Amino acid sequence: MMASLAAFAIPVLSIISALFFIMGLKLMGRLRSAARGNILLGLGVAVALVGLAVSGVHFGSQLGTNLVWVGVGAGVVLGLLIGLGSKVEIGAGVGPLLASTGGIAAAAVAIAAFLHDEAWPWPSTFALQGGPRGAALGLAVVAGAAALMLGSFASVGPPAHGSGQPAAVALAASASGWAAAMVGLAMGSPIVATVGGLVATAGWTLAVMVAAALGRKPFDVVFGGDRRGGIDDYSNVKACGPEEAAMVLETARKVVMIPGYGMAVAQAQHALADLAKMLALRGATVVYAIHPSAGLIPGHMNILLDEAKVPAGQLMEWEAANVELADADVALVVGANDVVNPATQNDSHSAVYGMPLVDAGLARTVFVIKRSLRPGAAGVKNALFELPQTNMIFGDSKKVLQAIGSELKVQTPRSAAA
Amino acid sequence: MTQGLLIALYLFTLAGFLGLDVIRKVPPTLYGALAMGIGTAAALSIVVALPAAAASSSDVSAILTVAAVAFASAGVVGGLLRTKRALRGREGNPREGNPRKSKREGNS
Repeated sequence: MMASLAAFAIPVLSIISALFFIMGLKLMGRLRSAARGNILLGLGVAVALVGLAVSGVHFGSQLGTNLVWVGVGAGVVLGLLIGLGSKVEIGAGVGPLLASTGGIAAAAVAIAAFLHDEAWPWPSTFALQGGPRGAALGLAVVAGAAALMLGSFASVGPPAHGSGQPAAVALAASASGWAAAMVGLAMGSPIVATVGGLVATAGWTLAVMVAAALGRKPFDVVFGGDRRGGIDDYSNVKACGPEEAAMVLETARKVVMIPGYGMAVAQAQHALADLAKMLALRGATVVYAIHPSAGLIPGHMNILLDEAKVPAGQLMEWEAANVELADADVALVVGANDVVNPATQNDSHSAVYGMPLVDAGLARTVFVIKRSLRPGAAGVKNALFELPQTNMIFGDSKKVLQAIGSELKVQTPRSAAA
Repeated sequence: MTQGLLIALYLFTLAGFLGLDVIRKVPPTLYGALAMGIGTAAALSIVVALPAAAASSSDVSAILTVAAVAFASAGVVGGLLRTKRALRGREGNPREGNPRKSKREGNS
């Protein structure tokens, strides 16, 4: 009776665990639900471990039991140290190596399995045998080594100090997934094979996405390979589309709009005002930062925004706007360049040095809508575009703003948000 | 034997294609946290590492499998904590709350 109960419980628990992982990764892709997604991943591991427990692992000897506890104890302590210690941002340090641990573990198990008889450590109906088993174990070792290498690169290599680091971490996770999947297949653990396969391709997909935002290929990001030409002055510039901007704006509580000459050229003031109204309806505080020399003539922005019927109370002089930016979730720079150039404050050799600055970089996330990386009227490079929190959205201001607006409507229908 | 191989390939193929699709549009602010989260999921290899350690009978395999258990459990615990902190660092204010409630706060 007990045996049949366990035989029934294991596949059920495995399926539940796999669903937790799938849902967890899905939820982690949205700002609103990312924290819940992480909890689901934890639950997925927990349920899989319960499944393992009811399957009645044979702790053959006292030695085996002790080994398990030593390993778990050491791992948990190490995990707590890395998890709670050092800096918050993924940043340089050992943090990124955590993405490799799954693969390293799988490779170690695979090597141990080579040294033992077939069907070690436990017989499973799904376990591979003979040639396929050897091939799977071999691939697991290779993938585990790749995970270790990629994780090390993410920690100390070229990506460690740039926007490309998530790509390196995602590739390490992907390699770990391959290793786990191969060991899962060889040993006949359906849940490890399934989640390993899921992780292998999900990590790759994310790495491609991060690299694409940088205008590069995944492996070039990791190994510091050549970047695509055209953008000579800039490195580490991330680009994204209106959808991603809408996903961030959707949860923003305070948004500062920073219009510039580009808005005037594109006649985007109405589109900007419409977007601001939508955000306000979703509970966000929206203000406009007006730089005295934005546009062609002093007061150019005020005239245009007044034409778009923006309440005068939302327009702020640059000094007051900088106070707002300090705790803003999003700074949306619309066709401005020199007025948001940090060189006005910190580079005495720059042509724009000494000009007032709307300090967009103070905001948690910065989106810059611009046609290209071409310099503004002063003809100088803008370091704001290279900040880790900055994302470029290339295109015509009006069209981009309208696209963000329609994405917002799709993502959070009014009925859900208001 | 062939049955095991077929089921394995079947599972792996389906899961692999699901992985391509489960990550779609992701806001750039979440790239780092999501990469860590995917890494945490890979540490599920602890499920094969635990019984392997329990069954190990020689010195070499004992060392290998204990290291495997330690790495994988560090990956689970550390990965979950790091991801949580990366999310909090990015968000800074409560995003989980009811949008309706946050709207009322915003207007008051």
